[in-house]
Formats: sequence, structure tokens, C-alpha cells
Amino acid sequence: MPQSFSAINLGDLARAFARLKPTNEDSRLAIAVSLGMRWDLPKPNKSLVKPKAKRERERTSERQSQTEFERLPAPTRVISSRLDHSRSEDAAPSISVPPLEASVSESDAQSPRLEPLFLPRWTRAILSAGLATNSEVGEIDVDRVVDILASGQCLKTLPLLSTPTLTRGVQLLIDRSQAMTPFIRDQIRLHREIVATVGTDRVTTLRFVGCPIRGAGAGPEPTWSHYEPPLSKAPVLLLSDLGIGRPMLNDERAGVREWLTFIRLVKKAKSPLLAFVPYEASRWPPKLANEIPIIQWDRNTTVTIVCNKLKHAREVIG
Amino acid sequence: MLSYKKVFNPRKTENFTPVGTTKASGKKDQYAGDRRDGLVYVYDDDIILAVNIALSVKRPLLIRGASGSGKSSLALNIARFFKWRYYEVVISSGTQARDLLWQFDTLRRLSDAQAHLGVKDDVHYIEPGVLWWAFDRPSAQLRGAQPQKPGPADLADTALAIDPNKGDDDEHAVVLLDEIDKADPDTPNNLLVPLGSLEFFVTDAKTKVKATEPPLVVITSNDERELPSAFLRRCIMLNLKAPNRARLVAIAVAHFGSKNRVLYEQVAKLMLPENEGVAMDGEEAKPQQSAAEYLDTVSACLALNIKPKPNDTTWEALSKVTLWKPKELPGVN
Repeated sequence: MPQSFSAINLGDLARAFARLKPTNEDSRLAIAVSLGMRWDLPKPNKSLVKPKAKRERERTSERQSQTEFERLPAPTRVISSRLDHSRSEDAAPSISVPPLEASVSESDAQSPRLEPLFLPRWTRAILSAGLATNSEVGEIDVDRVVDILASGQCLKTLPLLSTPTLTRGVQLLIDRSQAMTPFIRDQIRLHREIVATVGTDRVTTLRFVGCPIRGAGAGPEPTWSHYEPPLSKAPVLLLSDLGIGRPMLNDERAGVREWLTFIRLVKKAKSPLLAFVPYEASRWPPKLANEIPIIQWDRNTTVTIVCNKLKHAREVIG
Repeated sequence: MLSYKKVFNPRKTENFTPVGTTKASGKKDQYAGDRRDGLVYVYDDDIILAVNIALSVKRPLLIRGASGSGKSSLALNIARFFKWRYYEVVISSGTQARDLLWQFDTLRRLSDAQAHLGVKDDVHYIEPGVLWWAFDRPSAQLRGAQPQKPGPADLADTALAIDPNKGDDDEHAVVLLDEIDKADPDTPNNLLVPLGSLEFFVTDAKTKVKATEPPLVVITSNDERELPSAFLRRCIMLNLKAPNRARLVAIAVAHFGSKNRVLYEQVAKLMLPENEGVAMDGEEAKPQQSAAEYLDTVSACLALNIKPKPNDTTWEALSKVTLWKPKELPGVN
């Protein structure tokens, strides 16, 4: 039986100490840190040794502080995203915020740094995973060759293995509704990343307001025309809030029925459809979430999440 | 100051350039593109410690860092230092974990059958991967056939697999799995057992391969794709920090000799005005430059006799193509 490949543990630390024989605390600490372990080394300091009475007073004070701390309301959950719109019914603890002018330097105020919605070093991989389609461009499919030859047929074409590839390109649909205004810079940045990942010639960019079937186009709004899905079965990527961020009676807000018509149109063209939505899953329209894979456009999104979502879409949505 | 018994104890600059091809001989340096020959490496304490720990606990060493920061060349330099065997494979999007163990040449087998040459025993069609070679070279040479009884009677010497070793001839080996982040997300997880237990079963040869001497497996990642946490937890991690000016100059001296030190310092100063390395996550804050780009610039300055000076047209033109590469593509809004 092969030994299990356990995660790095204290045994590794012991082995490293035994082999490398560190002779001082710094070396021991450096080895432990390199192994992903952390500890606080006790650093006895004579100046910190306190008289017994003083220690007793501090202990009493600590006990009082602890009791006071326990009386405080439990902290609300950590906000993991700048787009976290969930609200707590409990009264939030008061927070002291310094005045804006004191906390923002002049240069920061002039040019605030954009924190991209996807983690920068993962964006390319997320896009590759999300926009790849299977094409027969891989190695020779030996199993199929054997099957053909074994059944006495001629090889008319060389069967190739199906491999995820970006060669089909992508049709990018950018929602320019007012509700997406806070995300314009994110859209521009992601557009640039998509072009860099997929290739300039392989990205078709169309803009729309509300829903693409109302009209879409590459240029200014007056030039937009009837929306056409891609002919080449290229994937379609939506950068939209799917109407989430708009008031119910807003003209720009497309209804679920309108979106479903659009989805049917894209599916008829046999193009895979994917949506990046800058809101959390609890706010997605359930009917749309059941029809297309929706990815939360957020820093917590990973390639694994995208792959699982697409796998689920293939198996369940079809 | 770190103090421990170093299994791996290189000099700060380890240079294996053969005598006769260095500047000492008066010949021009052989610098060209990305050096993957592992001839020259400038070490710091963190790198030496990480290698020592990986060797001690026999875990893979995962090196993260920007392109051109010296991840790949470290493995070969370690192999040169120890005079060990050296195997490398550059991972691509199509690489599967099994490719690193062995491959079965089904097409050649089919071709033999079609040509009526007679299908040989399966071991003839097995191509050992880098990990097999590193774990057990004799077994890899025989493609998994039993050495006592060669099995197929026609397993002649010509059928022995060719050792892709690029290092010395030794029982120990260093294996470089380069750019693992390019692979399919499942690939790293599929390597957990072979890398952890140091053994695997070759189903096509019905034989078990077990490492006689655990190799040092060096894995590099550009961090373009996150690696599975299960995989990360089993590796010794080394994050190669972006170099500061002093390190850049040391790297240039190691590659080109100390004759043009002033030039190296000038280029380093113009490249890093604040004498700080570029943070891994700082794509927005500062332009991404690596030691490789610095070396390209120094090399171009030496070859074209360009003196780096602020506001100099020639220098600015050179730095534009070697250092300040635009990230924005034309026509994208």
C-alpha cells in the first residue's frame, strides 16, 4: 500500500530540524515558517518581568475587560466583497471613521485605484476556463482510429481528440444600462483582459441596454440593430446585472420573459452562454439561474467555481 | 542570521560556466534569450533555506514568482551543484499527470499491426516519463520489463528507452515540472500520490515503480491559475521576490562579469528608481519587470554600446522595447 501523502505536519518539522540542526531561534523559526507553520516564540525579557502585586492587578483588569467584551454584541459576518449588499436586521456596531479628507491623500482622490472584481492573477485562467469550447484540435484520437480500422472501414479523416480551446473566440455583450454605471471601469478592464486572452480578432464586442434583443451594436447607440447570435457557435459572454440593480418600474429593466427569449435565441444558434454578474447568487433571478450558468463577478470567484458551474450547466441545463 | 547544517550550501553566486567560454577567456558571453542552462545562479538565504528544507523533508519545492525571476534555472543549477541527474518537462494546457509517469504509443503499435510486422509485447510501446526516469532509471530503460527475465525474447538493446537526462550521471536526480499553472486544474491533484508516496503502478507494463532515491522535485508556477489547496499544502513554498537594485547588479555581474559594473548600476537605477522590487500582486502599481528583462537590457546596452542616461533618446528607445512594455492593446476601449 502506498503511504498517504499527508499535508506538511509536525513530522516534517521534526525531520527538518533533525537534518538541518538549526542552532538559533531565528533559524528554527525560518524553517517552521518555510513549512507553513507559525508560532510565537517566547522571548523572555527581564524588563518585562513584573512584580507579583502588579501582575495581580493586571489579571483583575484583564478579567474585567474580558467580561465587558463578552457583553458586546457578537460581530456581524465579515464582508467578503465590495458588492455585498446583504443587510443585517441587527443594529450594527458604531464605527469611527476618520474624515474623508484625512484618510484620502490628494493623489488618491484624483485617481482612485481600481480594485478589479476578479483577482488579477486568476482572471486569465477564469476567462480561459469560462470561454473555452471543446473542439477536435487535440492529439489523434487513437481509440476512434482503432474502432474504424477494426470495423474494416477506411480512414477518410483523421479523428482528433476533443480539447478545450479558445479558437472559436467569443461574442461579448456589454450591458450599458444606467444600473451598470458603477461597473463601467470593470467592464473596460475585463474587456481588455478578454481581448488579451482570446485574441483581438476573435472577440466581437456588442453593447446593449436592458436586454440584447432590444438591439445591440458595436458603435454608438443610434447605430445599434437587431441582435444576432454568433454563427460560429462561439460562446456568448454577458457582462450584465440581469436587471438586478434596477428599480422594478425602470424602463431599462428587462423582464425575465425578455431574457428567456434572448437565451432561447442563443441556444438555438448552439452557442454556449455565460453571464458574469456583479451581484451575489441570492439576488440572481432563479428562472435565469436555472437556464444559464451565471458566475458571480467577484474576487472570491475561482477557476474551480467556474469549471463546476459549467459542468453543472452541461449536465443539468443542457 | 540563519545558522543550520546546510545540506545544500552553494556560494552566493554559483557559476558553472565551462572554462573557455567565459569573459575570462576574452570571448563574448553566450547570453541569449532566457537562459535555461542553469550555469549561473545568484542565491539568497531564503532560496538556500527552502532548498535545504525540501531536501530534508523530501517534499516537492514549489517556486512561485513572476516570469523571468529565475524559477526554472534554479532546478538545473541545483542539479549542477550536486552533480545529479536532471530531468525537465514544460507543462502545457494539454499535459496530463500520466504524461509525467509514462505514455503508451498506441499509434506505433497499430502501425506495427497494420504493417504485418507483428505486434510486440506491450512494454515496447511504453515511453517512460520524467518521474519514472527520476524514480528508477534501470526500470525506465527497460520500459518496465523485468531485468531478470527480459520477458519478450525480442527485447533487444535497441528497444531500450533513451534516458532524457540533461545532467550528470548519478543515482540522485532533480526533476523540474515547469509552469504547472498552465495544466488542467486536475493535473496537480493527480500528481499527489506519485509525488507523495514516491511510487506508482504502470498499468500497461503491470509493474510498480518505486523511487530508489527520492528525487528533488522542483515545480514552478507563474501564478496565472490558482493551484489546488491540497497540492499547496504538500509542497515547500518558495516565493521568489522581485529583485532590488543590488540583486539586479549581482545578477548582471554573474552573467556578464564585473567589468561594466557602472553600466549595470545605471540600468538598475533607471529600472528601479525607488530601489524596491515589484510586488507579485502589484500589476497596477508598477510596471512588471524581471531580472530577465534587466539582463536583456544590459545585454543590448553592451552589444549596441548604448549608455543608459535619463532623457537620452537612444536609451529611451531601448528601454521602451526591453523594459516598459505596454500592457494595453491598441484599439481596445
